[in-house]
Amino acid sequence: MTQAFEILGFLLIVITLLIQWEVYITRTIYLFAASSFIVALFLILLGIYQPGDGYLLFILAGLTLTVRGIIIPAIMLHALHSLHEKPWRVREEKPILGIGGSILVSLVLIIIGFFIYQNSLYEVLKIRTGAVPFALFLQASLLIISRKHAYIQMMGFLVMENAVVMLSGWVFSGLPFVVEAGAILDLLGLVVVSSLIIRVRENAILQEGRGFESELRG
Amino acid sequence: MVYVYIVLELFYVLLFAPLIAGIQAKFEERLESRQGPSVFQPYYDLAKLFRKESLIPEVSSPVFRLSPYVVFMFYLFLSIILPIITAFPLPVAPTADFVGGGLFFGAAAAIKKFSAIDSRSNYAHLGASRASSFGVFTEPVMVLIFIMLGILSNTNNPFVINNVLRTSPEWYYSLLHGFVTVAFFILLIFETGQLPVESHTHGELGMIDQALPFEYTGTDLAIYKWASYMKSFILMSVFLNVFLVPFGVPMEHAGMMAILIYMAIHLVKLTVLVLVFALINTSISKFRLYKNFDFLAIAFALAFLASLSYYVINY
Repeated sequence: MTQAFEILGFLLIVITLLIQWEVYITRTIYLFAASSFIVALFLILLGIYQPGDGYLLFILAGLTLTVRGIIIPAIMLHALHSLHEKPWRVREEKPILGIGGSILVSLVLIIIGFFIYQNSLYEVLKIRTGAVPFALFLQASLLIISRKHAYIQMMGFLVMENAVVMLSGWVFSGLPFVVEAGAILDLLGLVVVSSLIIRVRENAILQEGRGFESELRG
Repeated sequence: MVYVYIVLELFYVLLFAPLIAGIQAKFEERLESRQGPSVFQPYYDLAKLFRKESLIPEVSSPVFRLSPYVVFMFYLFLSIILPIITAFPLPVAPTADFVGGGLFFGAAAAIKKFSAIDSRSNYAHLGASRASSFGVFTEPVMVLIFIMLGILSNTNNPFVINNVLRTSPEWYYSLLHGFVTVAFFILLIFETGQLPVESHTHGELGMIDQALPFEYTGTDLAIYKWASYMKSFILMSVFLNVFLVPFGVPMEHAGMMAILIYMAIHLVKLTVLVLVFALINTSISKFRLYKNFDFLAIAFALAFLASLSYYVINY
């Protein structure tokens, strides 16, 4: 059973690497949805594995699946569709760090995450792959730092939250349900607010551009 | 008897390598709802080229003339030291392990580049410089993959790796093996010149390996092309027999009949693999040249994660 957790954990790291690789926003959103599905699967397996507080974990998994796997990606895609005529062509134009470079930096961060965990919490928790959420957390922060597009930055926050959900569900499984569910649900509000902000911002930029255009025409 | 197997393996690779290329071309055309050439088209091409006269640039040295034959010989040698139709080492196999095989592949690639430079054609030079600059990134990944397989089997022998993977499910279903397989698949796409790295057209914007034989004609080109078919065939066989489906490759006690049957099965395996390649080639577009580095970075990341997974969870 622990092997299944380990495989899913590494799969999450790979998906985050793929998000790092991707420049098109729609595909990033789909990849995020996939990573949420994996977190949900993770929690379901955990529920089967720890029958004590099983049903709460199942509810948590269901919440993750619907909120983070379906509703949030759907809202983001909807916002993208309403903002752009060809949403599938919206992309990060010039990342601050090149894609290849950011993948390599990401690898270094994964190792740092593993070392930090190995030398701190591992002594207490004794879970071998407990470092996965830490690595995800660092990877997500790199995603936020290295990209300029607001959508991808938000995606970084969401991946970070996925790491938190995983951490709370697995490594600190004793947390009260309210806290865990809160971590999942507060995001919904955040996404709605952020998509509104993005919309306002993009519109403002468009209008600014129009103004300049008329000025340039003389 | 084992010497019969050597001859068998040699002719198997020699004769069926163009067929697999033909099947892939046919698949690609059929997927685009076109009739497509016959699966034997590569043989017709080779026969035509063998009948034609070879032209040699005046400024070139004997390196240009000899290299297709040397490369051809290298691939023939590789075909008898790697597990293609047998899961047991043939008498010549101990001459080189996996790293040795990698070195032979590298030497063949280097000779191709020398010949391209020697042809003094601008396009061939372009290809040589591109192939070298990507080679700098593919080789470390290859070395990392070999190291991980070495950890898995405690040797560098492809036959032992095959046996370890087919007999121990815990290694076959391990994260290490999964990561290494995907990383090798990415390298395979790169080495055999499939999309998204290289398209079949001769557009100079994207060509890497296709630019190398630009000045070859006639028999020289035929040998060069045949060697390229063999390279793809051998690499795909290694991917299938060592990495992906190590099962069913006959052992020594299985006898001649089993090897003959496996030869047919192996062709089916290769056909499925080229169908996957054809699907990839018809469904995705080519990367810009500099995007290929990112593609290789993913391969490196996966090979690296293999080592990390071994370090963290020991399998």
